[in-house]
Amino acid sequence: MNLALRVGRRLGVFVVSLLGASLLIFLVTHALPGDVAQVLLGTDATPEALAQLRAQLGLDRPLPVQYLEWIGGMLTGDFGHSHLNGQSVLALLAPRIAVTLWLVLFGLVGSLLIALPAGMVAALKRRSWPGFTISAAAQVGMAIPVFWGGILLVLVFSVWLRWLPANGYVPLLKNPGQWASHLVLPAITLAAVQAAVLIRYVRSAFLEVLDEDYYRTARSIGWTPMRALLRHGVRNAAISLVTVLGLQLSSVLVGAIVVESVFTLPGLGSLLLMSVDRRDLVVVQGTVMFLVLAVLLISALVDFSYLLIDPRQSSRRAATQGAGSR
Amino acid sequence: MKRAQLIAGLVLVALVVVTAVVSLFWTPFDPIRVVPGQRLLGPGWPHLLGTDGFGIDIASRLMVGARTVLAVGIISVGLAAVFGVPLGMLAGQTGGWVDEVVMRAGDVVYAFPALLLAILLASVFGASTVTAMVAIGVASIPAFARVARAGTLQVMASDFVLAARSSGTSRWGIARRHVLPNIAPVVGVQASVGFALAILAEAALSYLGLATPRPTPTWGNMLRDAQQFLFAAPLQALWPGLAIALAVLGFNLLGDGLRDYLDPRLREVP
Repeated sequence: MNLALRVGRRLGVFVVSLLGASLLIFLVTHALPGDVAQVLLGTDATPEALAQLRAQLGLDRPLPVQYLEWIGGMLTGDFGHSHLNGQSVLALLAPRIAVTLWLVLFGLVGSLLIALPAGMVAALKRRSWPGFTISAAAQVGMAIPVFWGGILLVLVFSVWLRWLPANGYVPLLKNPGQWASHLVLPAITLAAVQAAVLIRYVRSAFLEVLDEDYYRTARSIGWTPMRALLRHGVRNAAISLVTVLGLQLSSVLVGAIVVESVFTLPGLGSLLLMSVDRRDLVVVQGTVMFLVLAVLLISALVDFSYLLIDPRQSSRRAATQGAGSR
Repeated sequence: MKRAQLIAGLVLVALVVVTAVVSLFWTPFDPIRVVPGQRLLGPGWPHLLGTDGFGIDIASRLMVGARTVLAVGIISVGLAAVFGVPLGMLAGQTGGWVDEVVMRAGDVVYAFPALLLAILLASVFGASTVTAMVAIGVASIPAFARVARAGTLQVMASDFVLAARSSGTSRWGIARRHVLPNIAPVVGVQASVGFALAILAEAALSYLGLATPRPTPTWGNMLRDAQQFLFAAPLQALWPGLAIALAVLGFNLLGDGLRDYLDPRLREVP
């Protein structure tokens, strides 16, 4: 299979996944026995009022029609309008995207900065105390719920030391210093929890490298373990780590939603929770679709880059290696 | 070392189970009734861990919280296994387009973390223990399907399945007699790890107000309450988090221990 065909195939998978996801969201919010009109008007609403609201919201039309209209709207950039105040979902999302984006970005980068060195040391020193300590710390870190981690950091740095604010947000352009001080704790929270999960993958990726011939050769010509690992290991481990990062993405996003709630940051997560509270179904539906779209899009992009980067994926090599490879 | 992991996991899990069972019959104080005169007491006697913002004994609420954790864990992991394992076996045994469809559908669900599903369900039905169970369960189906499929592929390639097929055993017979018993151990490991993830997810959902609502105590909603009194009563925010961490650690250690115990190839040479 040549590259264009592979990319095309992956693109097809992306489109089909997107359709599947939208169908799932639509079915949960429309086909299950729950009535938006009833929810909005309360239990003592008259049947006439219910019927009128349903007609107004377009809920009295056949489900396939409603679904197609929803999708058609999104294709033209219309994610719907709030039941409550008529604001468009995109207008609600726009000012909040930056907050969540910063958090996800710092969370990902921070977790890599922690997990890469820690995982490498854990692999190199796997039979002595640094290795054990790192593995044990990762095991404990994985058991700590992200929101509790955030609360503990607030306890230490806001309640006791009073160094950093416990909650709130200031936009970057308004006051960069304030912006940073409000994002430090949330970012560390997210990064630390993600790192705990990531360390295991990094460790096993590097353990695999330690078994390879090229590593043994490098060692036998007198390179130190660290040098051999840095020269050869990082590149080889990177391929499996890119995959893991792609898979981690949705968990980082979930973590960001929770962390936003801990530190009352005005991001997409707090919009979602607020809308659930108000039963603003259109906003919930549109925001969830937006988030899923982001996850699917990025995982598709990761796969594309993977197709381009990894030489083993190219067809000529694969053919010559044939049955000889594992 | 590995054995110690397994034992530590078992002890922690047993602790959660025993606490939950005992709480059915006895707790030191009423875990629900508000006592206005005893708000925010520190740890001491008779309230070992102090009281919360409603004057309710924290230790009693922690004990009852263990029940929710187990109930949500059992139901959601059960749900995920009941749907995920047969789907994975079907995909692995049939192959071809069936395999493709099942795994692609799994990828779509995989893009929906339990949190997003719970948000969708809560916005339609209102947040409850049941919506949390369903959300966590459905979100965990792909993991079980993947594990079952990988195991099935391995079993299908073995000589004894070839022998069974050539002697005319039906697909169903092979699935029941050969595949299922052989993949049971890996499914068991996945169940233990999945349980740990379910505890974390349930805690996060009830912390966010997307699962069991007050006054029923859960470890997550206790932390949500405690956060309001972070400056006045910081210790309150310690206990429920510690309970969650120990329970999750327990199931993770149990899963890891089981994996190593069941698969001698993974046993590290000391």
